[in-house]
Amino acid sequence: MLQAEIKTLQHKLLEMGGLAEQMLRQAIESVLTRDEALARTVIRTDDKIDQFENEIETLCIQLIALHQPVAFELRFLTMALKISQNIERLADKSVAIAKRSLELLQYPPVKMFVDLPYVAQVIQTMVKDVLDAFVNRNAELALEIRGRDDEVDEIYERMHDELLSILGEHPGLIQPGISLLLVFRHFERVGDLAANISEEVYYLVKGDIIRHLDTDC
Amino acid sequence: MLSEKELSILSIRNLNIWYGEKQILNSLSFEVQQKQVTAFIGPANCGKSTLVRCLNRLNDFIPNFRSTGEILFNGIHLGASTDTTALRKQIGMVFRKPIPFRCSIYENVAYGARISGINQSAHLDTVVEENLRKVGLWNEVENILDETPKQLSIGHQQLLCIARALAVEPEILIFDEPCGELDPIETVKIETLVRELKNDCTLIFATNKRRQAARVSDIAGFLYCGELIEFGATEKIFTNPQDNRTEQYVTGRLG
Repeated sequence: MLQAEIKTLQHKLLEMGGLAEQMLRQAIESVLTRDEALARTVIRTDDKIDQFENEIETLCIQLIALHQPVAFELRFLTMALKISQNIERLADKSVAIAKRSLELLQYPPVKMFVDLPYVAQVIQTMVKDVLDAFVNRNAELALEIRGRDDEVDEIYERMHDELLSILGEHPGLIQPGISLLLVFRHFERVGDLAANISEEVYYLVKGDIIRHLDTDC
Repeated sequence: MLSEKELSILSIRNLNIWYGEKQILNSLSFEVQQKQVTAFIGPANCGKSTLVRCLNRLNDFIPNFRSTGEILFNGIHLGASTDTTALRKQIGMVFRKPIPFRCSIYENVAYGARISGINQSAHLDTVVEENLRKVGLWNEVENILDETPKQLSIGHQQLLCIARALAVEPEILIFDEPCGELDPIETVKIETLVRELKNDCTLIFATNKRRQAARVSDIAGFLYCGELIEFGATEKIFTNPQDNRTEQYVTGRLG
């Protein structure tokens, strides 16, 4: 009986994850192509994500209370709670990127950094792959995705410093510059959240908590 | 408009039961909805069995039994003039200890169908096979239908009793601690079956196993010292009970 409920729950989580993935793609595209309509679509979609999170949380609590699961089923239900929470945060970051995208529209186009589309690609792939790792119960992939977050963090640090030095020299660019810096910051957080989910997938499959261990472990 | 599932099949109104001077149930009122699993939980001697046995008038045999209040089955009052044989065809019962009849496995299931007026052997064969399949016992017994059920495990005997009860196509099937004698694997079988059977009929379940009620029921009622302390959606009873005694019971600190 619980197995059937777990299938329903997994289906719901994947629907939520797919929607969050789509929001991230649209939010990034709205920044790169200065597409106001797309940015507003992302902001509107957030309500659906919140609804998913509530439904999944309610279902998990009910299943834990009614079935008192153990072993894999217990890991699945506790991780489903955490994964849905991280997907919701991830969607919030897409909304934040879309809002920065709307801010950037108020200023003439600034020269995009070459790292922006690159890091956008990295984080999108991380999100897509971590959902695949979840579906396929792939602990090795989860571990590898977690490692990719280091590169995202490095690029963010570098861009942060570069942007600050440019803004120091061109005070007229401070407002769009801050919006752009925040876009990078949100990208970096998306990487963190995908890494969190990968740790949860690892725990789901292996039963080992790797949250506070180094990524090169 | 109420859907089929939301219709009350049983209405219990202000039910009081005494055995001699001792009051066993105290002012119980609740509704049982069609095609749902309703479970009654509570510690030993709280009145669960007395309650479910009232529903098809099995307590009538007990000396000094006395009751007040109303039990309405499909809106009709179950009173002294009720035809109990007809009633027990419509409201079947599965007991804690399986009680197969002292006849063949086939005859156990065919028995109910015969008293319902089915006599053609081809028809009886169909009824027997259908109901043994429904409870998942057909493959185990199809080659030993003429033998007595004694050789079956307790769990299989219980499944046979359920098949026998189903053969008369009851509207309600009552389970009184049906897994009390069974091992965990057999228990899972019965619980899964109960979930499946609710597509065909209404199920009422009395158990002192909290977890079992949580797993199988849609609606749960907590009985304590003859009172119905709380009655409502099972997920609500097990995630956010409204009465402190229910909270104490479902968390294992009472009873």
